[in-house]
Amino acid sequence: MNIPYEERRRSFLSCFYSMQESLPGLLAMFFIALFSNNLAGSPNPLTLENLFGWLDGVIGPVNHQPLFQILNSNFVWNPFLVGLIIGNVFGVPDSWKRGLSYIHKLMPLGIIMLAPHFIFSHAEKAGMPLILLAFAVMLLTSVVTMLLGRLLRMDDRFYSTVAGALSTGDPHVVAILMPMLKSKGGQVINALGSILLFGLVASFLLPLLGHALGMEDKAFAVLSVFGIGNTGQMFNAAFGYSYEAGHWAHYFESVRHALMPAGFLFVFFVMFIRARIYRDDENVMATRAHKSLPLFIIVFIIAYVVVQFHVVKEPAHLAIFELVKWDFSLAAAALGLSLPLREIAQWGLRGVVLAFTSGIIRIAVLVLCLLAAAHFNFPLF
Amino acid sequence: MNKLLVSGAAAVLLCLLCSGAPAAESPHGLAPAGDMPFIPDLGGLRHKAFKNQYGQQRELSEAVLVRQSSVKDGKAAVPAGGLCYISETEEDAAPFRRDPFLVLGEHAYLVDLKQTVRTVRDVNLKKGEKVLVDDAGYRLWFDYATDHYDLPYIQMALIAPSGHWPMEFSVSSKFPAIKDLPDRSHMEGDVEQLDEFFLDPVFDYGASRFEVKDHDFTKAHFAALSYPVIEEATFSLSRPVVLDLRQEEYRLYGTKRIYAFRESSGFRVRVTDFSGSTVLAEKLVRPVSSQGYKDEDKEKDAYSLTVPGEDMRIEIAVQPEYLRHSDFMPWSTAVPHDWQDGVLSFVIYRDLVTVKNGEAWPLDARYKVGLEANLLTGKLQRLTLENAEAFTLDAENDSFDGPVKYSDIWNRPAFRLVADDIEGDKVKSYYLRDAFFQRTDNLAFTDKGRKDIDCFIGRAPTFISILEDSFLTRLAMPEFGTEVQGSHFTSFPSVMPNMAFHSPDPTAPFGGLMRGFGREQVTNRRGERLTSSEGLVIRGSYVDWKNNRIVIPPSGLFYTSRNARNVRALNGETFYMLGRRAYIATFESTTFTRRNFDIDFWRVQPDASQHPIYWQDQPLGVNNKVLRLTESHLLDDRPMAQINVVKYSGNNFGAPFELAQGLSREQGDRYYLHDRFAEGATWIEPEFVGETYVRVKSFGTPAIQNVQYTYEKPVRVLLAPGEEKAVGKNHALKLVAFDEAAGTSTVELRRNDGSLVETRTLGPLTAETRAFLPQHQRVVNSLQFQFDEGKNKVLAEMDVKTPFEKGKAAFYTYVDLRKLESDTPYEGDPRFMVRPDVCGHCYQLNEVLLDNPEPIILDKEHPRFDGPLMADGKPQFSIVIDSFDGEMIHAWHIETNYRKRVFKSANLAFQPRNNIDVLMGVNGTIEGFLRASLMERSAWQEYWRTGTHPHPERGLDAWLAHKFQ
Repeated sequence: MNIPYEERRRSFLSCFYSMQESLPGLLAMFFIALFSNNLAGSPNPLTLENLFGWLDGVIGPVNHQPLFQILNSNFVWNPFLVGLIIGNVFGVPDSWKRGLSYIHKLMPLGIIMLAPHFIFSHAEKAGMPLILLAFAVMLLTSVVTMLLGRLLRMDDRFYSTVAGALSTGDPHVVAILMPMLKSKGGQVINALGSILLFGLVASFLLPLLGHALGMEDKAFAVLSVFGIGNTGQMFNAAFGYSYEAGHWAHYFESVRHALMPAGFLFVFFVMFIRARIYRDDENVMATRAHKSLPLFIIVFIIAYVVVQFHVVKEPAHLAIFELVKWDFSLAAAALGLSLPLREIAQWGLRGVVLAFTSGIIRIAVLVLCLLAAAHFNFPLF
Repeated sequence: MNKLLVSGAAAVLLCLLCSGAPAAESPHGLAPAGDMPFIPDLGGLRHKAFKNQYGQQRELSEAVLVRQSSVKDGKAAVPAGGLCYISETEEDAAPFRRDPFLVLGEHAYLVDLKQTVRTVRDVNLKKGEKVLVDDAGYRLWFDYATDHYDLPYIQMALIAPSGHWPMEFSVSSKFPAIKDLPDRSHMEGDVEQLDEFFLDPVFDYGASRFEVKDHDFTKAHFAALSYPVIEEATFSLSRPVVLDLRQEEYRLYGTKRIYAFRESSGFRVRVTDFSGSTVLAEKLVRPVSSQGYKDEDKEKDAYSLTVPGEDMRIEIAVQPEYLRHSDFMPWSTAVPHDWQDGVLSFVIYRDLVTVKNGEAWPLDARYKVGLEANLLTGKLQRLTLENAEAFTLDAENDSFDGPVKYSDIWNRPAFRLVADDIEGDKVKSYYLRDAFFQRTDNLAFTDKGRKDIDCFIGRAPTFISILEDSFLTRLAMPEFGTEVQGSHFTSFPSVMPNMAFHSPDPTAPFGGLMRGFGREQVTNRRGERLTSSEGLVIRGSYVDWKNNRIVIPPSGLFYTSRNARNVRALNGETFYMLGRRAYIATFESTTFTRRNFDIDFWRVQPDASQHPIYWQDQPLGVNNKVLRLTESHLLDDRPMAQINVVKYSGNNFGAPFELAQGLSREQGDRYYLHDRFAEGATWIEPEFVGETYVRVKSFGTPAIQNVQYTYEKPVRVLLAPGEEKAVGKNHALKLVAFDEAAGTSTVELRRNDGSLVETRTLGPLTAETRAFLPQHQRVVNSLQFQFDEGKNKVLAEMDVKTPFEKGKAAFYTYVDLRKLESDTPYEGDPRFMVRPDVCGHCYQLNEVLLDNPEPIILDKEHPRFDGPLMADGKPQFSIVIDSFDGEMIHAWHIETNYRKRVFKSANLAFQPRNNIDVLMGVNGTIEGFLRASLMERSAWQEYWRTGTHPHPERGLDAWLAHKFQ
């Protein structure tokens, strides 16, 4: 007998599916996560992360860095990959789908738990000039990407996802932006792939450019961190240039981390305000589903502000980050399972064009700034 | 400064040349190139702790070493023995304990050993040499020689073929031996300097004995070197099968029956076929128990039954309930006590492999087996496999397989050495691939290439020994910049109330040489060249995040100045004092003695931090030294204790006291250690040596009260009777008379206004008194004439080298004397306390320390702290916090003032840190801290090079970490 929801409702928890309904999907996510990453509390050594680790050892380092790190293997990518393969090869039974829908809870929860990861004071050591430059370049990249996206007549959820991830330099920001912008799964993965491809190509070509321009190690490190961003790929570029540049890339990476929330929140608020302005425009899709400012974003912003006062100490941050890994592992597994390959392909190559165009513009701007700073002896770092 | 750079560069070159030059002789016992690459982690070379039958933890590790290789004309040549696989336990492995051992990556168990003692007679060598003493490749190293009362004593080490040596030992045939130590149990408190200096001509170290017959400063003749060697070892490559023993009944083991019939002294064990009709083996077997003597050759046969041709070795043991059917030991214990409760069980070892020292590896004749014994216990410590023949790598043949390993899957090479890019005399690419096909990074590291293919891959402790010649250069002048290890942040700060006698954080950055911290070669009046250097140590600092500040606790910051050996009076010796060269004038020391006290074994570290609590330490006076019982062993069930004197700086006194009672070679014991110990002026006589504590009957060691020094170079004056010379601005020294035969000079000191201050007869300087020079202060004082008149402190001393010349008496005069009085504020900057440290041998000044008596607080309002002020009023160094967010330090550096310029160190928090512990400059104290953490620091250097974090358990390592125990 189908009992109406209002009659079943006992508390706000009544909105969840019952355990019986959601258990199969949750178990699928759980086991995929368990065999994808080395997660806190799980002693399982048979993980995809370990398999990649072994393959890294067999292949040998590239520019002293593990190859699969350059290819972006991490706690989001691994379970997504496993889920994608299982979902597309074997299909997903209907009984899993209600459990998999918990991705919509896990994503916002993960974003909130990420707040202690972004501490501005960690970036102060790099000095205000560099922080300001990085901030300006980040906003410029966002704006340019969004404008180019419109020019390319792309879905606004798609190009804003690319804009947020590319400008912050972290492809995984697509996962953060997904519940914010209400992007489609295919858009998210297409954007992720586009940015990773750009990062991969740039990480091998950038050292050539640096050598051609005779850049200093420190300047090249700045170019790698803010021109590519993605950790494994920017280390590939920096260590490909020199050991010294690689060490400085480590040093400056904290700036990128600290500024990251500003980057994706900027994109979100631009799209959110735009959706409010163009309420009746059917082509404005990003954030449209939000009737008001989502609660999880408000909580995230409050948490982000609070953690700046060192309320969450480093040991607690590390513990919370282990939970984030669990959270995003489960969510990424669900995303992979529920995403047919055609949905990724459906968005075409415009994401790649956008990522490469914006990325090259960003690198050009950065190179000009760095050369100008060197020329005028401006103490940028 | 130029001198500093030149001496540094010369040291580097010498180091590299000495350690890296290709040699025609055997590579055994020799070091690889000083700048060789070190890769701490490669999945197939394991590093792990396992537990034996009694729960005792065994730290096991494997490594691959390439040494004495060379690259020329497109070919890389490795001599026989140049490629060496090492499997090592930090403790030892013996039969009847189920001691684990790694054999080419496989978790094996040592089940049997054939041990003997090798004695080599009449070994001659010169200082600096490492001479081969036997065919196996053991070498004796003459490292260092110094003197007491101008008589030499020498420091030696016996180096195993792998390159490992456990400790340097001091011997001398010129001094009273330990057995001559008189009864001093009546002494207590401070007593005057004692005359005797002890050094034994024999160094007894458990199963080893080294006897020097004669020596001087440059050469030595050893009458005999005795050391344990292992001829044969048997390993079991699988976990043992454990079956409950049923008396007068049999148990089935595969297709065999194993009977046990009780007899008065054990069980008669009979092994038959499945039906019981054919007896395969039968023997009276006694149950094994923990007593160490049972692995002696004459004893051990009674405790096991090996069935010929059946790959079975049966022992009988009492197994606790949880060990039934398994060798899994869930927790660690420190002592090998037998299990009182449990089940009498058969322990059946299988997959047995016997290897013989010096013979071919059973699976691969290209490799020769080496079995190295622990010099103390004589048990197995190391298994080496080295290439029997030289080989060459070139474009056609770019790899060489390691020894074939036993494997559950398939027997295959344990590793492969590959050099796939050799251009002329340089190798541009070479690496090692393990049995799981994982490889290292390109070991050439840079495009410049290398002239050899030397390397060390893995974490075997032998790494520390073989880098003795070059580790300081490797750490002080890193190729890839100052390495900073990120801190491990904890939920509570590691607060120490006082850091005296403690070491800095092992992860403290090492800044190496820095302008402003002097280091140079100085020459004394006797022409002896000594390295003099100063530095800075910060220890025990922490972030007090509840109050947003950084705290350096009392004694947490110290300035250190030290020479390569002690600083001696009467020789015009110098040392650094806050950036300036200071000349020592005189000193005042005593002997600190204690009697009838207990030292507990330092076992408990309750807070698990990097600054363990040493409440067991026994203080030796106030802010002088402490005694610490750091190691305890059972040698055939007799307790042996290792006691260290720990200096104020946190470093150990060079010679640990190894003590055991009731051992005697004459009565047939396998081991011998002294039941008391004396070296130099330090002695210890225990009443009782126990497993967990030592009761000390009598102990004494030097303590220094003060030293006097001057920044003005002492002036040599020649005076005829009646002649006088000015001493400083206000005084004049006049020779009244001298007696060359008696070795005396009578002098008087006058003020410039002509008033007499004092008359003194200096000397006598005779053969009798010279026998106590330069160390004995009573004799030193008799040759010095000191006058203290307010600010005008002056001193005159006889020139002990040439006291009389051309009818005149020779003196050295010192003016503007300053005093460093122990435990008093430093007169140049009362914020710091003076803590001079004394040589434990000879009462001389060993080190000058200036430390903070009060905590130093650094926060956002006070981000800078100036170190002690130099003579020009500027601080020698300053601590500058650049970026601190209340919890993490993101940037800080040290500034020094040198020749009117300010020099800055690298950012010492390049990776975030939770303390500002640091080691700056290079001297003996800092060297001691570095040596203690050499393996970890070298590993961090490698992580730093590639920008990775400490080795994560990823890939195969994660699998192996979980696979066993």
